[in-house]
Amino acid sequence: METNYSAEQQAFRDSLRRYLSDKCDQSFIRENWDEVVPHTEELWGNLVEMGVTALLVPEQSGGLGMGMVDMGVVMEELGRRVNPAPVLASCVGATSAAAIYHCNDLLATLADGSKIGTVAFEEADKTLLSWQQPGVSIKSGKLNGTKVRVLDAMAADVLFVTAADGVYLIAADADGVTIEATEIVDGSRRIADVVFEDAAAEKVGELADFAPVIDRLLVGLSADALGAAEMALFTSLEYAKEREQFGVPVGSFQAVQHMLAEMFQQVEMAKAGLHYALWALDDAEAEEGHRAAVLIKAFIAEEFPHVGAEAVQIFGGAGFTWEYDIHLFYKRLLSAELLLGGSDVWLEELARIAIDR
Amino acid sequence: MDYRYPPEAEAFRQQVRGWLEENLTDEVKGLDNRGDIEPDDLLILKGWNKKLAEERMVAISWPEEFGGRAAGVMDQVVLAEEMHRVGAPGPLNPIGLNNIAPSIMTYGTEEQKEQYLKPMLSGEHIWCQGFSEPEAGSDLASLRTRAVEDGDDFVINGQKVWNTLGHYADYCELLVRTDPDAPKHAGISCLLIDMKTPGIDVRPLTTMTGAKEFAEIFFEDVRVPKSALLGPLNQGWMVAMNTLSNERAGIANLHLGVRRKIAGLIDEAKSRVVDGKPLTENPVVRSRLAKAYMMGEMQKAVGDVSIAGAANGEPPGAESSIVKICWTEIEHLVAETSAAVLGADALTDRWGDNRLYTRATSIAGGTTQVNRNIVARRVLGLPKG
Repeated sequence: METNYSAEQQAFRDSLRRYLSDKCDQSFIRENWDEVVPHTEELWGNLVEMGVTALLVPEQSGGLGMGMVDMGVVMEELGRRVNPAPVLASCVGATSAAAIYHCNDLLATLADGSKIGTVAFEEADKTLLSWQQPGVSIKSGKLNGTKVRVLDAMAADVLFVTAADGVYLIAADADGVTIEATEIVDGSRRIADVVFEDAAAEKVGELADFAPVIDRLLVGLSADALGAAEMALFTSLEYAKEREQFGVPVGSFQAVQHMLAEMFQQVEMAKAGLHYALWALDDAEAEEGHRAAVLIKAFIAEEFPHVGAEAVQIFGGAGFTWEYDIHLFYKRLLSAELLLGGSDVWLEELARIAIDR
Repeated sequence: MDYRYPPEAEAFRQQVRGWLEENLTDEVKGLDNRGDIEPDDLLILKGWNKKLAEERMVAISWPEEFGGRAAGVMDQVVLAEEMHRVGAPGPLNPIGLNNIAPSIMTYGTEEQKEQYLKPMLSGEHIWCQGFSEPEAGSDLASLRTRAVEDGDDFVINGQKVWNTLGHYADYCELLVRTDPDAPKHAGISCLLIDMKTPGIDVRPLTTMTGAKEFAEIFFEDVRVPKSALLGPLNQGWMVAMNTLSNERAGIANLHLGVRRKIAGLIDEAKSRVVDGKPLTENPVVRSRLAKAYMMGEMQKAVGDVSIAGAANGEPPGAESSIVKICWTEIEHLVAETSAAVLGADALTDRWGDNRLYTRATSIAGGTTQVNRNIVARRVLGLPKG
């Protein structure tokens, strides 16, 4: 039994961490905060070079053929630096969909990073518990309706769309597609509403086959949140050791120590649940992978906003300023809580798993 | 990452499962091996313990010469899982087996090992620890029970408290102060004493649940031979805090136990109809049960990190220090959830008892606050206040 990343995965993590802290530190994030497409070509090019875009692409389609455990390494690191690159949308979401639906030409372009994709499966009047009954309609090969909270749609070249009778692929600049960015408190992440008006699209497969895409997104987002929570803990811990009041470090006060110990506890629990979920998506039955994915997303949604809030609290007044970085992590944790469904959704899914089955 | 158990452990699982099917009787099934055991149940449990010992299934981590199987961590976890699965009670002497025996194996003389280990394993002798005192709880090293050398004997005076199984115990691993002038950790010795020795007065201590789970032990001029000393004189702290135990199933037992409770609560909710509707259709009930279920599963995940680390020969890391805090909080959550789900019925029977019992989880074996201090200082490196 092994619950840690392998030596190779740790080496990969170290090189990613080095790159992100050298080239994409908080000043980079701040420069691009609230930009409609907040990543740069240089950042994307470097991620392509490090293999991030090819990670989940099968080998026969020109990819690296790796699994979610490897992608977990990437997502944790991106979360640690609140990085805006559209990896979750494109390298996890669209890439998994393209692999499931055998979109081989697209897979090659996703692998080499020349195209960015995303997945559109949420609607305004539905939770993800009913994603299999989409309201977006299809008539004579044309989509009508609106998807919401589509990750990185403004950066995307192509979208997978769940519609009444299956999953469709459409170019982002196709006729009848309108993308409207939604401003959220977390300026390091981009979501958008996507409106389809008689937009001609290509059917790629059945709705039911889309389920693993959602499970992978839930776990990918949770890994991102774990990275952000670890940094919230680490940053506030360092501050508690340095910041002096009454002639001593504030971290010597038991009240502060217990806050940090509790944050550490939540982070360690999440790490344990996340690693299991990453492994389960790669190597367990689909049903168990789904259960593990829902467990970790529900836990993140329930517990991590508190970790971020406590980190802000430890900074005192400085924590409420724009100048200090701690709010960046807090905001990242708030979006991780609520994007792809909050605890209301995933606790109900757990109730279905634990009570109704 | 790989969360599968090794094939040898799965083979051992089949062996255990087969043996339990043949040997676990209805009389034994579901009996509680802790707490306030009825005299009749104690006899049944002793018989069961003996049967387990004959099959070498009591302390499988022990070396074979002492009646174990020298079994690795994953076999221990498998045994715990299979015992929980069918409601088979564990051995009577968990404290003796897990906490006292490793010290005897490491520091004991040949005579001490010969005399004490086998009857402890079979359940013939029940052991308690005499550590805490009224004025030495979390700050255990400030203990004041004295042992004075007198010829070939030690003479013991003082009082111990919170002695789990103390009123059933045949023997006691006792911490005493043998050098009052030394710094507090340095003047302590460890003695192995017969509880029938004259001058020992055991008074059962009734807990808030009404159970007699602990005892207080009073020592008045209790004379024991110097051969009672375990390990070197004045090094009892090191002897008693010996962490060389190979036993890791306790980590699995924490989540196995609390998850069984959660499953029981879900079953109980499913059996109820309230206001004309199944209780489990009530969204508040669903949400509360789902949260408890989620936390139980996360406890397993945290436990698995510790277990895998131990199985791979790593020293206990940061995660082991939080396994206990997590578990106590989940025990509290399950107790609160039982109230939210069952209403006033949670004041009765097992859920009523459980609500009270779980208060002890965050106190016994190191309070949550002391554990948080340990995490803050040793893991996070925060300065002492």
